[in-house]
Amino acid sequence: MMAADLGYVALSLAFVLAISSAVAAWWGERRRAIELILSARNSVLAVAGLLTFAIALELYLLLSSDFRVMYVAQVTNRAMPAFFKLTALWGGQAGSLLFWSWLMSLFAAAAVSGSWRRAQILIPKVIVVTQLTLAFFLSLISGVWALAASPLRAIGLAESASLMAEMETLTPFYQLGFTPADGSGLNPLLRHWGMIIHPPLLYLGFVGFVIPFAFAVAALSTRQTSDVWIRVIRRWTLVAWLFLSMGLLVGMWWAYGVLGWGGYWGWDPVENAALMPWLTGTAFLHSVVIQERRGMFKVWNVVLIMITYSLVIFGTFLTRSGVVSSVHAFAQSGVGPLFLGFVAATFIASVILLFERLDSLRSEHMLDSLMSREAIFLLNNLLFLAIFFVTFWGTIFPVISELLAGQKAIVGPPFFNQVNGPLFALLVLTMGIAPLMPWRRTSLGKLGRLVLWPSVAGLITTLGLLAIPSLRQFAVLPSTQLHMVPVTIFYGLLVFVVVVIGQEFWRGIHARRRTTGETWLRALLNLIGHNRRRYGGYLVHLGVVMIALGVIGTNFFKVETQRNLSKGASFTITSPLTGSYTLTYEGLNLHATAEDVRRTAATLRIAQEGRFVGLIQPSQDFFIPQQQAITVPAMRHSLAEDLYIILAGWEDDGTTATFKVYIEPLVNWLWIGGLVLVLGTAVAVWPARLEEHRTALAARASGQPVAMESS
Amino acid sequence: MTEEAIDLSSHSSRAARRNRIKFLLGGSIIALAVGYLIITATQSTAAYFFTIGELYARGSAVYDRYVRVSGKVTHDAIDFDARELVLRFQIVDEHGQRLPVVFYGPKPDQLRPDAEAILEGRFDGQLFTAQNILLKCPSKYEEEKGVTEEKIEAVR
Repeated sequence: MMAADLGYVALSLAFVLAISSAVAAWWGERRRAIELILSARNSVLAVAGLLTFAIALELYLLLSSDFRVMYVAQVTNRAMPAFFKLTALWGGQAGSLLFWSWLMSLFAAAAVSGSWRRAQILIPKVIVVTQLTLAFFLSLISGVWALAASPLRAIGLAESASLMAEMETLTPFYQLGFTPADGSGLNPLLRHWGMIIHPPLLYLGFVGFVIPFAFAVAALSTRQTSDVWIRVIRRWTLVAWLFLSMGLLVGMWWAYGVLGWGGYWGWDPVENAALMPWLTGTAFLHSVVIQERRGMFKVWNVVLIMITYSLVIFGTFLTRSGVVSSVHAFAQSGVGPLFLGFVAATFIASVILLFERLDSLRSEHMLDSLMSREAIFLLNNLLFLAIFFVTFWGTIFPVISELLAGQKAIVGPPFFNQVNGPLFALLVLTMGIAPLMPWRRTSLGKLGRLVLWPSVAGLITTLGLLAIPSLRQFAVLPSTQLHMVPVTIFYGLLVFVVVVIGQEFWRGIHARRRTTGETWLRALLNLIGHNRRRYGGYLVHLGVVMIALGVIGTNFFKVETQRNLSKGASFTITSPLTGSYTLTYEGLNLHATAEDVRRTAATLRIAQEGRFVGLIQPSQDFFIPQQQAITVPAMRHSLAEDLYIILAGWEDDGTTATFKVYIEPLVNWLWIGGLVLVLGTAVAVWPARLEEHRTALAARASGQPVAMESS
Repeated sequence: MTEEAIDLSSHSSRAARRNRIKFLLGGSIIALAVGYLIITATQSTAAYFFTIGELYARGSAVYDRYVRVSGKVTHDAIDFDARELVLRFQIVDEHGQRLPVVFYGPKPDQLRPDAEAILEGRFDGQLFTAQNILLKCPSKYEEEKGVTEEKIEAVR
């Protein structure tokens, strides 16, 4: 039992050190005692070391199947392959909180040592914020709250006391009084690489946003509100955003490929919890550009990062408290109230700080005109915040309605789609116009000339699509012609954006070729290489357009049906894009795919437009130890659509079987767009070369806007 | 030169004030529009979330309204017609009140006795016709995103 005890000690030590580090940094700053600040920094590094040690211990326990440790017994069993035992580290509540804390400690250590010289004056407060956040998480998993149980009981709060006492079991090193023969094992649905990398990606995104928040608070409290903090955190923010985006996309991909309901996003509270900080974080990402370039939107930026931080904590809380999907679960664990308390406390504290420092956040410029890039960025921000608010409202609506009307009520996907749909369309429009808008001001005529060709292309798309009669019948919403209109407008907008981006690339390449005589490819690569943020940003936008293509396709043109087929019988399903599929049921077979898994697979022949194109095998896996059946959808992918088939049931001998069949138009553009988005962000994040850095600095110093660089 | 000229004019306080009014106006229009969208969409899509007891207590007032109800799947037989995809089962609340449910669609993998079910659909006084089933398994596995939850929609 050495390892578990050691782990417990490491966590407790880390908790104490995190708090003392925050105190030392705070005190050192007040007293201007550099040795205190230095010791605080060393503590930050030590906390990271201790948590790395704790993680190593937890992994060792998981690998060695030490079921006396409750967490190990909860998330693993003997039959599991070693790889899954390792990834079970984030397969349950206690482990994932430990994992979160570990990442937080590493990020804090990296931020503190990485920015030590560049932003020394901010460091003490950065230490305070990151270590207090970390201490809160560590308090949950180190069993400290259990210490509060007896005092609470002593003053007569028996119920709170028992909640706190239960917190002890939340340590990933909590030991049972006995050793179970075997553990419960990981849910079979999790045996998929999408689910293995989804949580770490999300956590990296979540934790990453704590760092910009810490710098914002530090900048505010030291009144260093120029753009130093904005520059320091720029890369942090982008990286956090990248991970959060990847986490969301991989989660969608997993849900689509594994859960077998033919969808990827259900506006579930848990999904919304991860989407909300993404929305406000994306708004922040855009509006900091304005502060960098024009010294405006300072209050706004601080507010955005504060909200994002609160949402990160709130999201972590929402996913594990059960407060929304069933309010009954709220009281069952002490984690819920503690999280809520922490979110409220940090939010209130940051708002107070903000109001105290409002005077130092004066804008250096005023908005000159509605016809300016600043104004479009502002609009983009308002839209992101509006979508966030709608999502927030819908997510906590059960709580609101119970408080206000005394009766719990919910809103489902139709609510989110109805309200967020048009807002997303407007957002796409701003995405297209923003790169064309000059800073400060422009005239309608100038703008008109700039958007002429993109608008023409968009309009042609919209009208062209409206004219295709065969498309109309596939609009899923009550099939009146009216519903085609928003869809075609949306597609028109996408084309508009693509043409704008294409135009920007073409202009850049053309200019380079004229001055340098480079080849097309060379010019393109140099163009991107020398203006990474700008063209990386365009790539991200292109990725977003592709994602939107898939989202609209699957939302409006999805076809679904179900059929019961006897052996040898077939049926035909018509796709909105590629004609018809004829599916013929060939038979059923049972075989073992792993030691503990039996697979029942149906075989279907696929003919497209009458021509045989292949076989497809939707199946059901039965996991013997868990006595659990998992439906495994089968898919035939193409750029136009997926044919997505589920084996829904069968008569024992397989003489007949029932299938659920979906056609998912353009769905693969979601994943392709995701890759482009990741690529674009990577381009934007990549460190610029030194000379460019100097040019940019020189340009800034001379007060001239850097002509080529932009969002 | 033109840069400078614009600079001067934009700092004249009257222009600035006019701009500020424009922006506030624009902002409020957006806020109002979003608020309006939220309110109307909430009204048209919100569904009550009942316990089984509340559902019975409301009586005919909620018949044929889209509602959400939660309960535990009972130990009675879960009857699934794999040919027609008709699923029949019952859920029960903590006071032992039962609700018979029918669902037209594939049987969710996680549907088994003691699973926590959240159903969306319509009640006619006798039978609850579910459109949507959201399941959480007995606490054998720990809760994590999507792990023990399963959501299935009706086909017809």
